Amino acid sequence: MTKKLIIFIISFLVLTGCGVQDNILEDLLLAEVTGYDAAGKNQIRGSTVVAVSQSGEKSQMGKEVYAATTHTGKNFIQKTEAEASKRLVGGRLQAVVYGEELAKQGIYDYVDTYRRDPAIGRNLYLAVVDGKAEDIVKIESKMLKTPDVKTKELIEQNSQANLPETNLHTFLYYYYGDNMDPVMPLLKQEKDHIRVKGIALFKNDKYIGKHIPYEDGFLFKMLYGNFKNGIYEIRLKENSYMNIQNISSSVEYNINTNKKPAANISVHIEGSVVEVQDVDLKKRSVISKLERDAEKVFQKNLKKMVRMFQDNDVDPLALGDKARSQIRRFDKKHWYDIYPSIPVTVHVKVKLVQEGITE
Amino acid sequence: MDIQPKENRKVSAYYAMFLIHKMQLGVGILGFERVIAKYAEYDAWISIIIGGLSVHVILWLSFRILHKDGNDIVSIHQFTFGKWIGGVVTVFFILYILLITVTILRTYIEVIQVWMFPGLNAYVLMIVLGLLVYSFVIGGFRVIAGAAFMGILITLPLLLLKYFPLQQAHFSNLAPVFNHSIKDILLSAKTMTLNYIGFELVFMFYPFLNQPRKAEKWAHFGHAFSIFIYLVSALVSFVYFSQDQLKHSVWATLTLWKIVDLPFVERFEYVGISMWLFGVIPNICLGLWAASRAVKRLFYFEQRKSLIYLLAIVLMCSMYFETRQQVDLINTILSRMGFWIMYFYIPILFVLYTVVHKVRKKTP
Repeated sequence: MTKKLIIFIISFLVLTGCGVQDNILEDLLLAEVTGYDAAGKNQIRGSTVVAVSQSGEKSQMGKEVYAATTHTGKNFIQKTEAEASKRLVGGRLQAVVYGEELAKQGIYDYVDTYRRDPAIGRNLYLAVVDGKAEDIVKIESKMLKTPDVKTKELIEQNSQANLPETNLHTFLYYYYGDNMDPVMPLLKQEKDHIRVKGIALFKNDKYIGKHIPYEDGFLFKMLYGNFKNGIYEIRLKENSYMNIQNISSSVEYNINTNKKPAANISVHIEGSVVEVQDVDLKKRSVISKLERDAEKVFQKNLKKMVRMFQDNDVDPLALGDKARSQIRRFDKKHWYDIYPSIPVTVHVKVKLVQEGITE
Repeated sequence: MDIQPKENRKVSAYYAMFLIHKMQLGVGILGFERVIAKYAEYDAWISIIIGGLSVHVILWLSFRILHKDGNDIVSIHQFTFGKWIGGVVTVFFILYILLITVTILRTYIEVIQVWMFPGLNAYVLMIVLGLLVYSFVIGGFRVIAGAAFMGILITLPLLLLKYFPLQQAHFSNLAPVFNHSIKDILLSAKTMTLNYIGFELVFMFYPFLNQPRKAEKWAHFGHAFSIFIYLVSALVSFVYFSQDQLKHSVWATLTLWKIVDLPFVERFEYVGISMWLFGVIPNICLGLWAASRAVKRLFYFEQRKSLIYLLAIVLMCSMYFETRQQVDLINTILSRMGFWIMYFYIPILFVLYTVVHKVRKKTP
């Protein structure tokens, strides 16, 4: 018995000697949003907004911005410590934003550091900034009224509707995957606000400078995968518009495995009419006409979007990967060559199910 | 020589299931996906089944050997090869068990160092774990079997966490099935053997099972359960990661825990790794118990004392391997040795033992 007790006590004594650095919340600066910008001559300018806990029971978190210009991504954290009063940690990092210029040069190195770091969670949001990333970081520090991190909330909220789910994992998934390219939300500073401008398109890790406008994010999500929510505005005629709310949308890819590859995308969307002008919704025939009209508009716009991807030689829809899963002995190099010229047809089936609570 | 353990030190037959399953499910599961996907890529789940079935056969062979005299490997070796050669072979077997133990301990400590506490003083943690293991093993085989059962009970709920990655699954990753040559699939099955290593300990704890003939069925259940768990883990990782991404993920299962987002704990991998200690401790205990028991049977050395020496050896070896490359190296060495022992040594032993048995019976 005494022997066991001794072992027990010794274990406690010895464990304290494990030399693990303790992290006390009050003694840390928690990085929330980090931004990277190109700064010329192989240099980058990193900036980060940190939460500073303050004394007092109900006091708010203060926010501070640190910035530095260095050669490597992580080094800037080290450099900022020169001005920081406490240790800077990344365990609570919510979003990383990249300036347009840097994104065009390729951001892999600045994503890779987060992939390696075990302290970073997998649902870290990544985004491209139309302009400078530092501006977003600076605005973030002023957003004290929103208790959480604004940049993160903004992307998270919009992922429900017009933005695809994009985080560190999805970026890496599409970056490493063959025959597919990642996308990221494109943010823009507008006076003292942050706005989602659209979906930035990437070729590997390089932003190609083109984006899908925010309104068309709905169309992109129709192709990207099955989803719910979101509202899309359809122009029926001159000065006549209809708003469709998506109840559920599903997509299917069929890639022809013959000698001449061709892709067929079929989308089924069930929606309800939120608002329509100059149309009588009582008649069934009117509704089916609306459905046909909506199908036409969707088909036209979706085809245009796919065409745009092919013209720019980017594959955010992972068309190549879908081909791989349907074709035995798939030749991915050959696919690279033929991708821009593959004929893609899009079929949309719209079903309007509810028209609100009144008739 | 042939000392049988007393009745009150034996465990029920169904414990064979927990013991076999626990020993196979060590640290390998935290990151085996990358290794097995090296050749057959995303067809590697077939390799898990093929490898698993072949181990079923080996397990069946092992029980054929063991049922004959109902004794452990020390006496089987002596019976087959004679006193001296048999003793030498047993020493190799002990070294093999110690290598398994070192690999488990060192790999787990590496996980803690990389994922939780980079500044951790590994020596101190090893000594603490060593004390824990010592107090378990000294309690005898029953305590270890209980620990193995508890270890399974505690770590099994972690399987539910697969729900989170499945929400972002790309099931098309698995298609088209059978897109690789038989050779690739078999090569992947070969790398899978490392994960099935550990059932060989049945050669040591066999006399400790009540009604060993019934235990055979349970042992097969245990192994089948291991196949199932490996299969589920691999399939989930395959649909969650793209192929090149998986190649860069050293610990795929651990990375999957990272995305678990519960309202009360944001980073589940810290909880998961800590819970996994319960999955690792019984393995180390079993390994050390088997090794010290073999030493006792071979050299008539008191088990308590030999345990201390063996523990010291294991800890020192674990301290010796420091870098990622070295940890990888012991894993590779073990998987090669395990492969040879499983698919060559056990069948050969079976043949020799049967022949010697027949010859000796005829000439009493």
